[in-house]
Amino acid sequence: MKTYIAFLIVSILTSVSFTQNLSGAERGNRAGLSIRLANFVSPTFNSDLAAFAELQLTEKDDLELVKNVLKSLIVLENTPEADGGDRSRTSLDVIADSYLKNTAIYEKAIKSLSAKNNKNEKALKEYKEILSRKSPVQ
Amino acid sequence: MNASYYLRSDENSTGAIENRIGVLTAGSEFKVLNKKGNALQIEITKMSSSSQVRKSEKIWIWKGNNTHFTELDTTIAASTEGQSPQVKCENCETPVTKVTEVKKKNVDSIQAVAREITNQANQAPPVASITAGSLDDKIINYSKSSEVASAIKWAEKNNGLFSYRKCYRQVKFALAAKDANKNSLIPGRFSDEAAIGAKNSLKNYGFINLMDIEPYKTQMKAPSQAPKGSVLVYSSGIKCPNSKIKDCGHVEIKASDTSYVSDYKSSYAINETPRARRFGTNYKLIGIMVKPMETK
Repeated sequence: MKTYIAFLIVSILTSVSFTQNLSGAERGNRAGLSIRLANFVSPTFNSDLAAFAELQLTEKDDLELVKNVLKSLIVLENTPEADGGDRSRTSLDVIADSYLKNTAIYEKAIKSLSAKNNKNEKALKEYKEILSRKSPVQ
Repeated sequence: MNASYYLRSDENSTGAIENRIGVLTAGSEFKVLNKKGNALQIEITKMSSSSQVRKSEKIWIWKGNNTHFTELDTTIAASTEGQSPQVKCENCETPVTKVTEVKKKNVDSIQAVAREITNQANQAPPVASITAGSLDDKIINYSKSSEVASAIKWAEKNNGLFSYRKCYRQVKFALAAKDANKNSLIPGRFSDEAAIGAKNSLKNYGFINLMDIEPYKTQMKAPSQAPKGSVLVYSSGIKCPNSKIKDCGHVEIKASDTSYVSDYKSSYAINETPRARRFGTNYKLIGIMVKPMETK
């Protein structure tokens, strides 16, 4: 009986673990997305960001992707408007729902980036305040 | 003339509203004093009841479409109620005349398009002529008012380098900023949710949306065409976080042709940044809000 229960538990855990793992194609898609999002002047940046916001994120697979997105947003707002920068922070609206669904991953990414670069810390702190706001913009 | 025409203080007719001094409507008569191309310096001899004109040393009218004017006699007096001149076609069947006519038509059609563009800028819409004529002045008064100046001053002083998603709040505070006479565009900050709501909420405080009123509705399509001090309202198509509002929108004040302020200041309107022009944007202008004023 004990052996049966142990086998059952191991089977369930294996199954859960297997379903959480990403397929090779999915990993490739996310890697491609991460590379494209690093180039904020790419014509597909807006649609790529919207696609990213739809993803179900996991810490194991997507922490680096989230970090890359946040880095891109910082570069985007610090670039002069004439060179394709955007000070309106419109992109934060696009990822707002993703933040609320995957807060823990974002928090970890923000913490990690803040520790590496003090300059980014202020911007990331503001992002966190904006994204975690419970009420609408006003 | 069987249409309404803007009266101008000079012969320039670029479609700008600065030199408009009134509207002459059907039924009026005038005497031509001077002529520069299609621009006529006139003296009004009979004014129809719906016409309106401010005092000015010189009054000019742009006579673009001849069918709108009828000469009363050889001294070039014109009536606004006359019929358009009838042109009879003689020898229409002659082939030589036909070829010449086709060539002439091509040249004429190009010239006609150019004339039509100029005419449209000068011809006042018949129904809304009086409203538009007087509204132009009221809008200019608004743009030059001390209330707008104080709103812009407040907004330019109280904004960040980047947006922090408080555009509507900052705009409301700016509009509530008092001038030296303790007057402001709105009495105080009011409660509202998303920025897109400004389009309706500001109407409670005497603002009008120029995008709802002719001729501005057809003339003004972009923030760059809006008058100074106007409150620009945009739809974004982006849902407000944690809210049932499906479109948050954006609002900003046009401080000048090169300055737009909300919770951040930019040289460009949100949908006219180089990035937006290059890659497109979700922001669409839906409201140019101004508060018509009788005096500056």
